[in-house]
Amino acid sequence: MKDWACLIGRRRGVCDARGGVTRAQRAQEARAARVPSAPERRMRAGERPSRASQTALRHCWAALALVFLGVAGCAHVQPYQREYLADRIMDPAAARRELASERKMLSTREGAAGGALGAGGGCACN
Amino acid sequence: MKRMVVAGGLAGVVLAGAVLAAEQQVTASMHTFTDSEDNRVETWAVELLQGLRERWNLSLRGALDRVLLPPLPGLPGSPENVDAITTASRPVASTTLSKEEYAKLRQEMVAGLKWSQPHGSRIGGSLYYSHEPDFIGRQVSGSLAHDFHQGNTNLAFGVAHGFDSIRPEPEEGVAGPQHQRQTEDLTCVWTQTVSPRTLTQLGFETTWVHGFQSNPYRQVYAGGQRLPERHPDRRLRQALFAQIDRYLFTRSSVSLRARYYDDDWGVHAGTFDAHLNQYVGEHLIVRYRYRYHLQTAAYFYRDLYTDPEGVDGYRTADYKLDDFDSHLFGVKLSVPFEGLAVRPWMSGLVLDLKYERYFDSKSFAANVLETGFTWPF
Repeated sequence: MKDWACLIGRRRGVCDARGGVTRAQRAQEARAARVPSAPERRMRAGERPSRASQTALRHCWAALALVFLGVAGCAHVQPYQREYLADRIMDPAAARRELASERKMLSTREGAAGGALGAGGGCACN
Repeated sequence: MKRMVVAGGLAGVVLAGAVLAAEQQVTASMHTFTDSEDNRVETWAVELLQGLRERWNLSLRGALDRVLLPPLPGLPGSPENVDAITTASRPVASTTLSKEEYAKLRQEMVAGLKWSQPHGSRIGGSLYYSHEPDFIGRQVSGSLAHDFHQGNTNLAFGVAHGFDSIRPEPEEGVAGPQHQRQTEDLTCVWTQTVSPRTLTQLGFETTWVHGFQSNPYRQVYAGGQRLPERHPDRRLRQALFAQIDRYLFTRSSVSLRARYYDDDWGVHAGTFDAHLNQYVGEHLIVRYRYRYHLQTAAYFYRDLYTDPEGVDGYRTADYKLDDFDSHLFGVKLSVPFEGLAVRPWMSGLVLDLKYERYFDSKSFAANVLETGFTWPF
């Protein structure tokens, strides 16, 4: 595709031999022109996104804690009734063993993973 | 080689201890990770749980990672290069080094001690140490848990302090500056038995990280220049998670987990994880798994920086700080040797085989294969 700025020599370093703009430059310009995401818009407007979400987090925490308090008050499972809870497919210890290696893998791919026991190591880029 | 011998010796000591004493459990696993960029990580891990005197338990874990990374496809610092994968980074700032295969070893050791009181309290502590050529990780942690309501309610608290050293590998004979990073972690977990078949869990975790948090090798295109990545040196991370486990009537169980994450870099994330465990025949267990993760970008993340100073003085090329979503599908087989044991010592032995497929909206995909066994005796 011909680009007039290339043809008159106003754009240096991004034009191909036929007077068009290179594919890499077009991709770069498209990225720069894209509509910013919601967190970016909030940030540009000067809003600290974490404050609102921290409040939401506290509300979630309080609501779930209340639900748990209600549940804790009415649950009376006797030791002899725990046959199913003791079954191998309900064993939380097995899941914990897997968690260490999984956290290590996910913390190098996702910005919200890791941060807990055994999460050290890797590339100093977590 | 020397380190491999040390790690092998540690595994040997652990296994020898397991053979000589009673009330023990040994877990060993071999984990292989490969991804769409041909990165490969092999992990061997051994864990020993040892009952000591009455009410005391010791746990020891040793792991060895072998990381093999192919030459990078693009120029160092270019966006198409994925330069960090499980447990590994590599010196990519140098063009010469980025065009060579890269291999490194990483060792990890964890020792823990737990004391159980007769009234349902447990107090524990552990030490963590990991070593690789450019990174040393250390962590000290403590935990306290107590049972209430005849064991129907359990409250657990954990604290941890980590102090890591980052020592970038020399590039063309010039060593980069060393850095430090510290981490404080607080975890609270509430576990509640709701019915003879249902267990729930609610937890909160907060982590305060201060110190160097960039990748010392990664570079960012900003204002037409290639500059070192620069992240803020403080980060407050919080997560709230809930889980429900239910035993079903069909000799199966389902586990649903949800997690909400938030930090002061502007990353918000939600994760949903579902497991279905099913007995097949008398003893064989098949587990199916699906996990979905969605996150927003950090406030200073940009695909393109027009100003060399980035945003508020920060710039990053870290794909983890962009907005994306990911999926994980998995299947796991647990084969207990009950009824199949041809020798008495095989009784209680469980063999595990696991395969997982991970992929995200940034065109990254990975295969995770794990084999291992658990041997209580």
